[in-house]
Amino acid sequence: MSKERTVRPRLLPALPGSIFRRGLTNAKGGGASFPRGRAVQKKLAASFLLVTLLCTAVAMAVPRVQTDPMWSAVLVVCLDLAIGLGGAWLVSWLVVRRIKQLASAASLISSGDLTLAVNVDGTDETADLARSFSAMLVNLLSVLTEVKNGAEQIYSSALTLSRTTEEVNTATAGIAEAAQSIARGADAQAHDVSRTSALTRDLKGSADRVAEAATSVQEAAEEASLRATTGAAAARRAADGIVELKHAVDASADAVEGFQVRADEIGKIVSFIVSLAEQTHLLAINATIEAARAGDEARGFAVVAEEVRRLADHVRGFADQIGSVTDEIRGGSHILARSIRESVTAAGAARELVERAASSFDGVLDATRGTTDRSRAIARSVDEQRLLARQVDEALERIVRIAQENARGTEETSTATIGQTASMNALSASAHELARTSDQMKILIATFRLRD
Amino acid sequence: MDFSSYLDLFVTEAREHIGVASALAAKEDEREAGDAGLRELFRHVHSVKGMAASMGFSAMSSLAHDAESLMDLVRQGRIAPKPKTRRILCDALACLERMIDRAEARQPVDDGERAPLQESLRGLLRGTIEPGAAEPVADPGGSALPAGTRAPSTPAGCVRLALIVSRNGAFPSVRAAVVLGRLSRLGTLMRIDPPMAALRTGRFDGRLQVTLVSDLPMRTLAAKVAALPEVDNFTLVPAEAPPEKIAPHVSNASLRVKADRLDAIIEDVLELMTAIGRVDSGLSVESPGSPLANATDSARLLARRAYDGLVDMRLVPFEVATHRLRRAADELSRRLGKPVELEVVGEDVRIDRSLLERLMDPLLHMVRNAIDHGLESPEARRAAGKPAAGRVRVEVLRQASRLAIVVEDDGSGLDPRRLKQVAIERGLLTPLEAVRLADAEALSLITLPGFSTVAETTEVSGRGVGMDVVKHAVEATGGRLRIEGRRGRGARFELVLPPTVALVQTYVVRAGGVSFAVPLAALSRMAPMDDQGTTWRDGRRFWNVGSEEVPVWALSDVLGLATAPQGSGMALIATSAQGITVGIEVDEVVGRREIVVRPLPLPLSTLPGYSGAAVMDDGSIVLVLDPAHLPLS
Amino acid sequence: MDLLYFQIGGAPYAIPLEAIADVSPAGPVHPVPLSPPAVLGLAERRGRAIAVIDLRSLLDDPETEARGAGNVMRLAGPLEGAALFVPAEVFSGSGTPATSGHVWIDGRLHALLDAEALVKRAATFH
Repeated sequence: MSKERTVRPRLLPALPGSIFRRGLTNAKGGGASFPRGRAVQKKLAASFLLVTLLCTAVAMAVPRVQTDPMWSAVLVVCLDLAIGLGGAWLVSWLVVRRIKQLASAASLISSGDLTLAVNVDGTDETADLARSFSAMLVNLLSVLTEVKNGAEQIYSSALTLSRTTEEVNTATAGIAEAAQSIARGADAQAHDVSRTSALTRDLKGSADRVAEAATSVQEAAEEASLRATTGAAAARRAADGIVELKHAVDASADAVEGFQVRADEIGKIVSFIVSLAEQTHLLAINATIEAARAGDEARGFAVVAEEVRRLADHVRGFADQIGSVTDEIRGGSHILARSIRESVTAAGAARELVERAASSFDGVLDATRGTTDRSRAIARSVDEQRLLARQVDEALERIVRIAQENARGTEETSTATIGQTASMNALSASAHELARTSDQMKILIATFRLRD
Repeated sequence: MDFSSYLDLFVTEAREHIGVASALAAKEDEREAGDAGLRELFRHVHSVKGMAASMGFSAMSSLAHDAESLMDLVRQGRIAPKPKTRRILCDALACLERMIDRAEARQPVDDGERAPLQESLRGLLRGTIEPGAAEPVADPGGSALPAGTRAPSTPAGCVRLALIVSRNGAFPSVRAAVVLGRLSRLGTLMRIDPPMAALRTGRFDGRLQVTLVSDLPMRTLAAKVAALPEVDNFTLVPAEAPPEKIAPHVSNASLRVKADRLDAIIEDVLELMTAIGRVDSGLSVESPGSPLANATDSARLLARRAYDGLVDMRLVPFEVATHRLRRAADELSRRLGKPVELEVVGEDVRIDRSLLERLMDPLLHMVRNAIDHGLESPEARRAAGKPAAGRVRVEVLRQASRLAIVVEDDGSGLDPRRLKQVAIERGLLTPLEAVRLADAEALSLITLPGFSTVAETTEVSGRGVGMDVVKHAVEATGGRLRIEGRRGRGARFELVLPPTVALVQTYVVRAGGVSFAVPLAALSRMAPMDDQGTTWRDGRRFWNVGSEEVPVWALSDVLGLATAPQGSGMALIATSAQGITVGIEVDEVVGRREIVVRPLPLPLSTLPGYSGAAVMDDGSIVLVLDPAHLPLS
Repeated sequence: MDLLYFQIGGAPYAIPLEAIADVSPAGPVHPVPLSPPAVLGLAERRGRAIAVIDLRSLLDDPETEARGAGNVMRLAGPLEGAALFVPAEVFSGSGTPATSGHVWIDGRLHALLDAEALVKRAATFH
């Protein structure tokens, strides 16, 4: 909250041996008495003399050098002029120098910058003046500094006060808000409580319904159990029936397999016969050969051999026929066996299904038994629930009471806070005023440039 | 027949018989043993007699025979069983035993003991024999000859012999075959009952009826039959009906008949040996030393004996063919007016008779050819400075296990150029081929069918069907025909014949995964191969054997079999047909085997490099190599 | 005349009975290296080795597959030792001669085979 004025840049002419530099030290000594000096008169006189001398010198010297009277006159005049000017300048410098300085310092002060230092060395009158000036400056500076400090202090205090009041205000407002919200909450709570009560009532109602339902479930379960028992029995009967069927089918499968085995045996015998027939065929041929070799006597034998061979070929033919028939039978029995096996598998599967049905009936039985237990459990829990509901009710009522108390409390608080707030507001306003005032003062002071 | 290998068998058996007989004789106190004992005694002595006879121990046999006769007389009751009799018998048995010992030690017979013993025996016998009657042929239970039917020394002529072949031991049908073999030596077998075919099938109950025509006197015949060890019993009667088949005496026709039966028997015996071999090898592995194995061993020996005997019978000296050759030569010589001197060398070389049979015609043809075309006219001969009579020489040689018959003449020989010309003329050869054909090979042109160098075909030969038939016939026997001809100096035809059937010592080797047999006689040595002993030159492997380098071929390469390059197999060193020493490398030498080698059948008979094939004990076939003629590149 | 007859590659053939010693089922054959191509090898019959000749190749019909295992006809007489392999069943019967090299059997024309010529051809290398 402190506002600082921008300070103007300080002017500090850097003059060698400037009187300004040394001014402060002496000022700190404060209240010093200044030696009075006559230095300035002396200096003036000295310089006047000097000038005169010089002019004389010139007037005497130049004609000697310049013979021409005109030119020497001119020269003397010029030189005299120069010397005179020089002397004048010297004098002004000696005397006026310091006065100028002081003048500029004073102008600075008037513009507000109090930070300059005045040079007070020398013993002449100007120095005296400078000294006094410097002392005056110092005093002024200290006074103003104190004033500035004081103003600042006031300002900051005012600000603090303002702040604090604001904070209190805020807090109060907060409290008020809180109280309001509590009040609102209490209302809401009351709402909720009534709603919860309603819910609890509903819960109670539904619990009762549940209990009813559980009872009916139990009844239904018992009925189901009864039916399940009947069903299981029936399924078992069915399963047994299937087992019998399976036995029967197995038997026929065995029979078919046995049949197949026999068919295979026939096949083997047939191939044996075929090979016999082939061998007989060859034997007959060889016999024919031998017979042919033996000549006429063996004619009869050759005929017999030929007959044997024909017989063997017939046998072979029949065997082939049997063989093909057997193959057909075997093929057919393969198919038959396969379908029997498939039906066996199917019967097995069916039995499994029936068994599963039976077991699921049993499951139902178990379930119903479980159901009865559960309904009892439900009834129990319903009772528990009712109890709980009651407890809840009571709790809620307590809450309502508390809420109501709260609401009352908050109302009071609210009222109090409102009053508080008003006073606070007034205080706050005053603090503000104070702050404003001190602020103005600060501004004023800020126009003076003080040491910072 | 070499019986030395059967000596052990004889000695063992004979000793056993004598032993039992002695024991029986010692028991012969006071007729205790009775007839049965006597009979048994008799049988033992009879067996010894027979065995001794077949072993050729005539002294032993004779003594045994006398002892036998004595026992027979005792049994007949014609000699009283006095102690003196018994003593002589025992002495005889003891003497026999000592003779057996001597025989075992291969010492000659000592007559010192035997002679006086036999004298006293004979004295005893003579005392009881009726004068004038024929010596009774001892035969327990059999009928002796009806006395006086025939004078002893006249030929028996046609007789019928009913035999009972001993059934002790296995293979009675083989024994029957052996008996028949022996009988065939005694005369000509006319008829055999049961026939050979039945015998072959093994259906033989021991009874054999044989009709025989013999030049031997009845008595001798009977004695000889009795001496057969395999014969238990026999009756010998003159045959009333004339024999059904009258075979001529000594001619090729009768030879043929006999040879057939003989061949069949030999075949059977060979099969028998193979079969026994199979049983034996199995037994010797499974149960060596068992009674069955021993019996099989004896059976094998028996079969071997039979085989050897029969094979021996198959061989005839070449001279049976000579007279036919001579007749043909004389005939032609006369007809053509060319004096011919036929020289036959090696008439005593024995050749398988069936082989000779098959070569008869080719030989005749070659001889005729030589005279007809080979020999020049007497004038031409004289002009050429040759003796007037043309010389045709037929020589029979044995080369290792092979036989060679050479027919050569000193006539005009064969001119390769002329032969080529004729061949071209007859369109059997193109000029290009003729140019390429070497002179030596050109000589074979005459074996081409349709070839003949004579302008006119003569009645006898020169029809252009001659030499090719000869070649074919020779090759059909498994042999080869080689022709050499020196122009102006005559032609030389060589028939190289393999042995018909032979038991050959071989080495069984393996190459390329297949087993082969190599006859021992064909090899000079065997050496294991390793890389150190071999050098390579021009892509050919050489084996350092002693001081020489022998080129080596891998058998699997030569035969085109899959090679399993093993590097170090065995090298069989042999001499090639060109006279070079060659080495044949095989993968493995399995072992030595004596196997029956038969020539390769048609159409493989001319395949060079094989000398035949053999069927092993297990029925598998092994090719027998001929290293000298392998096609080595 | 008495004959054995059979089919090879569908074509009917016959061979005089007197040329045959016996007929037996075909069995294992031991090949002979470097032998002519028509000769399948050696087979064992009755303890002896016989040369089995492939009739198919001699009749220029190598593609025929053997029906069953085939039969081996052992030749008789001077050709003994050689045998012909027939990849089919063999029958015996009688036939009447027809035009050159053929016979009628059961009303069908069969080509008559000459055993000797076959064996001779089998011995060559083409």
